[in-house]
Amino acid sequence: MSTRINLLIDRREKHNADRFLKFFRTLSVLPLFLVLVSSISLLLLSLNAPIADLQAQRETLRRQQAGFSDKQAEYLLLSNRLTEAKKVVNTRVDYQQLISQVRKQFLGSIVITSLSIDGAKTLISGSSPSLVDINASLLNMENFSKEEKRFSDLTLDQLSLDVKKGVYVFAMSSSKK
Amino acid sequence: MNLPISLQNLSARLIYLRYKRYVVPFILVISSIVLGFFVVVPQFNDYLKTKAQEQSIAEENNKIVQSIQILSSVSESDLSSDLSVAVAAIPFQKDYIGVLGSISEAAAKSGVGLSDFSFAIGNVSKIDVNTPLQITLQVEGPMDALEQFLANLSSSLPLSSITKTDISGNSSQIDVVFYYKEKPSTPKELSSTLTPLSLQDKALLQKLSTFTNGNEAFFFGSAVPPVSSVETASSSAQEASGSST
Repeated sequence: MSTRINLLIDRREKHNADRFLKFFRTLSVLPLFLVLVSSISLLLLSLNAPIADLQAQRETLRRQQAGFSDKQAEYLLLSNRLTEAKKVVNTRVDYQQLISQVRKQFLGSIVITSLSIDGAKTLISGSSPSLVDINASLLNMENFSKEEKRFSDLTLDQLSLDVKKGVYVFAMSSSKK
Repeated sequence: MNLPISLQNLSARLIYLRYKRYVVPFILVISSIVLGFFVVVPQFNDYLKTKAQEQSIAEENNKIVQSIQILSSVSESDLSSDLSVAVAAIPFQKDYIGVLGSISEAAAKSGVGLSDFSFAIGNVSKIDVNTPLQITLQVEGPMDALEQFLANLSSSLPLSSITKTDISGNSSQIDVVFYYKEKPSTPKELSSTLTPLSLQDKALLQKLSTFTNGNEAFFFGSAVPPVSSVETASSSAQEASGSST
């Protein structure tokens, strides 16, 4: 039978337990305090929100704006028309400039007999008594296509001699992918 | 007989006696958590909602102030004149007079002749109100004059764009579309946001104001329609796609 059983609580242990209890009590009050402070703060913040003032200000401004209702309708209409106009102006192709640029590539004795531009596809036919001029024009068109990136391919569809008229007749097409 | 129950009670009592000092703080902690969940969290959510509402009203007010500033800064006469230019550019409905005027004026200025042209309208009852008005023009004149005609047409109102040109000698066929768009429903709410015209908008407006107005040209300009015939094809959409005069 053991004779070394200590029936008294160790003093140090009791001291630690008391300290822990004190700490725990303090700690347990802290969340309650925090909850209380947060709740009161949030309540005050909500009560002090200037919504009513802002709503009153809005009503005043709306009344003021109502005085411009006709002008506003015109202004909105103007914005709407300009949006539509911008779409057209920004997307339309300048055919006059395109025709002018294409024509500039055909110099000398070349006569353009037909020129058709349909979206990305261009068909040109013409005639010339000089093969040198036709050759120069083809090279011009090639350079124009490369520089302006207007056409992605350029095809000489026809090159023949019209014996009666004594001219070379050509037809070429180009397109943009 | 009662010994086990007594022992249970005894052990429960012992546990209680041992931990009774912790009971109250523990209940406090639990209460704090419960209060936090059921009071503070909803309160915080309400606060956030209030803040969001406050911000939304403040933004709305700012927009109204901005609108008022914009409207105050624009003079009535400038606005009316800008609007008339913009509406002439993109009319609310098919503007045949404007179209005829601008074509005629462009032709008169460039010296080309218009032999025929046809309007491909389609089935009026079924056609989309915003479908552009397609016109095929037969133009007579040298290529230089034709170029000038195209340039003139591009710088006239209503706005148009050329979709196809087929030039053969002194005779050309040109497909043009003229744009229009129906009037938008007037905003009922006065709080509709206005944004100031951008520099791009102002530049476009400036550019459009220099264009020839087809309506004015028709009534007051030099343009006497040099057309031998004008036919309005009002048939079904299928018929219209192949219609010509």
